[in-house]
Amino acid sequence: MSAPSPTLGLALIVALAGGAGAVLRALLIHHVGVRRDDPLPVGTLLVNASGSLLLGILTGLSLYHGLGTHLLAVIGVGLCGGYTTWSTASWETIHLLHTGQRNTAVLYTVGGLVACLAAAAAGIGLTALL
Amino acid sequence: MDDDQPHPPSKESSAPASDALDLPSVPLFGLSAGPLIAIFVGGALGTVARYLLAVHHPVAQGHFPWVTLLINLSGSLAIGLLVPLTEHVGSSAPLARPLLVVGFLGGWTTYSTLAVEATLLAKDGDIASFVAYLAATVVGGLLLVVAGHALGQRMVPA
Repeated sequence: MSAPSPTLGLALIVALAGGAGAVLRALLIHHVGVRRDDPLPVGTLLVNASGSLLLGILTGLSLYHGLGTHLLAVIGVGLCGGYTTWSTASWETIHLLHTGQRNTAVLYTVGGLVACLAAAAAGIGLTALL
Repeated sequence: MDDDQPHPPSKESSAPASDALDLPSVPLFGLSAGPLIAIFVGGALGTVARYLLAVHHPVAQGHFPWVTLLINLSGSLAIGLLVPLTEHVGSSAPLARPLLVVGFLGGWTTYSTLAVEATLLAKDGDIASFVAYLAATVVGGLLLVVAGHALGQRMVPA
């Protein structure tokens, strides 16, 4: 993903957006986790799919409608990047395998990939129609 | 400090988990101001580190997204390592996990960029790179969690 040459100010704003995204992720995962007693990490799935949709939309706006690189850096790289996570997703899969929930692990990993790719593709595709 | 209560009962199980893999990495016991600030700071640092790496090693659309791959693989290794270590120091450094695992590694790694880059590879018709990118991220990431966890468990005194 191309990014503008960073100024200190832009890097600072990307950092703040990333911090906000991380807090949003933690709150959403916590909220979903305490409401649902489900071995499937639904909260992480929701976070990653919704973040993929948003980044897909931003990427499409950048490709087809000339969205500025600074906005793409702050909202796309910063907010979406801080919000979504691969590390937690990979840990959760190993946690499910380790605790004997093999089917849930496969469903989570494959289903998560399909959901996030579909969300990203939908985001890019929607902006192409605009 | 209240001297009447030298040993307040722990809300969690008093015995640390014998194996960190029994734990989901995200704490489910409530998010107060301290952990949220730690998550914000860690998330900001992890995100800006990924941003600066991506700026200095730009990968043009149509090329293999090796920067994101390395970021996500290193994050998988690190989370495997850091969950047992932060669990071990949990009582004396309760903010270590929100800062390092939920915040920094969450901000460092990214699923949205993974999804968009893979989608663009497929859109360009580069199915070989699409499959290789997803397989390397998933298989490599899962193996590195296991490797990091094995290393982390060894560093924690039994």
